[in-house]
Amino acid sequence: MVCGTFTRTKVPAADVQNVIDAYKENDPPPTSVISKADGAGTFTVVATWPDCPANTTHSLAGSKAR
Amino acid sequence: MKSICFTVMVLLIAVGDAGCALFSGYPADPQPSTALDDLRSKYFSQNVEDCYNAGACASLPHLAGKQAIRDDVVLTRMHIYDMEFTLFARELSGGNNTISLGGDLTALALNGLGATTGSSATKAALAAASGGIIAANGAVNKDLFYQKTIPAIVTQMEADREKVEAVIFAGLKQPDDKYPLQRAVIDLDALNNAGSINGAVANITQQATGAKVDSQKSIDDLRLGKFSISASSSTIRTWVKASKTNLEALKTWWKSNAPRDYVSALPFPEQLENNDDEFFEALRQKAIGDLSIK
Repeated sequence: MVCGTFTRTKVPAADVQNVIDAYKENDPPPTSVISKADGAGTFTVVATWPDCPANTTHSLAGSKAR
Repeated sequence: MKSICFTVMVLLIAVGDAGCALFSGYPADPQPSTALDDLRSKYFSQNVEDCYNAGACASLPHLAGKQAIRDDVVLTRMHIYDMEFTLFARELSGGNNTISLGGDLTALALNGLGATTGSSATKAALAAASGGIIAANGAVNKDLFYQKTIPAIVTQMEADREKVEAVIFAGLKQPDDKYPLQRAVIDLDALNNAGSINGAVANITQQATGAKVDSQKSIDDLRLGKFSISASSSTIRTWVKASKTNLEALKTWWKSNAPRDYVSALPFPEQLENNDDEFFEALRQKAIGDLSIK
């Protein structure tokens, strides 16, 4: 289950709506998605889901491949 | 010609013999079979401790002073433990061993060979062990698991023993009043226990748990990331926007190909489309290939 906040930085203006839409496609969708200009000609998009429960573990079996 | 035939026959007999023998993979021990018993009876006696306490010993004639006796006793007991450990490892590796690992190793398998990490040697051995152990129906082939996992267990036991040996060697560099024999005996007990299967399995499992903690950091690292401007990102974004069917196909692919916890903990399709991390770039390339995305 997705929880907490995810932030995408350096998003070109032309792609901001794509990023917002992509976040909203998640099941369940975020409780809010906001975008903000970063002053460098690009945008930061922040999507928020409910807070992660305490003791959440993200045991990432496949992360070793990284 | 006669000599060639003879050589082939000898080789065949030798190979046949090797196949039937209880092959442990260890060379023969050059020490006499009674060496271990002799050392045990000499160095685990009350007499030796009395010698140490007195600072002189008739049974260790060339040694005088507590530190010299301590060093001799500790080093010899380490040697005895080494010999015992080697015998134990031989027994484990032998083709007809009688030691039952039972639930411990099965539990280790069920904890996930894939999730288990540790020293590179242990990791490599376990990685090698994973092939063919889990049958198509998900059952663990215990015999195969045993055969293939033993090298990893032994490697872990050796690593655990080396850690304790380092502590003992550091202690022996100190004077006797800082590292007396009584203190060294505690470390020697730890050395003996470090060669146990239970200890090795516990350490491997603990390392797997540690890996899970590291993985959680990875998820947290992915909470903040730069937008990908790669061609693969652009291709996938365009393809996904083209139809809901494409999105569903990508979702199905994601569930089968992304790490399990990525699937449950990361927003989809945003992370796959937009994360500029190299791992996601590789995933995108694979998705494009697998789904024939153009």
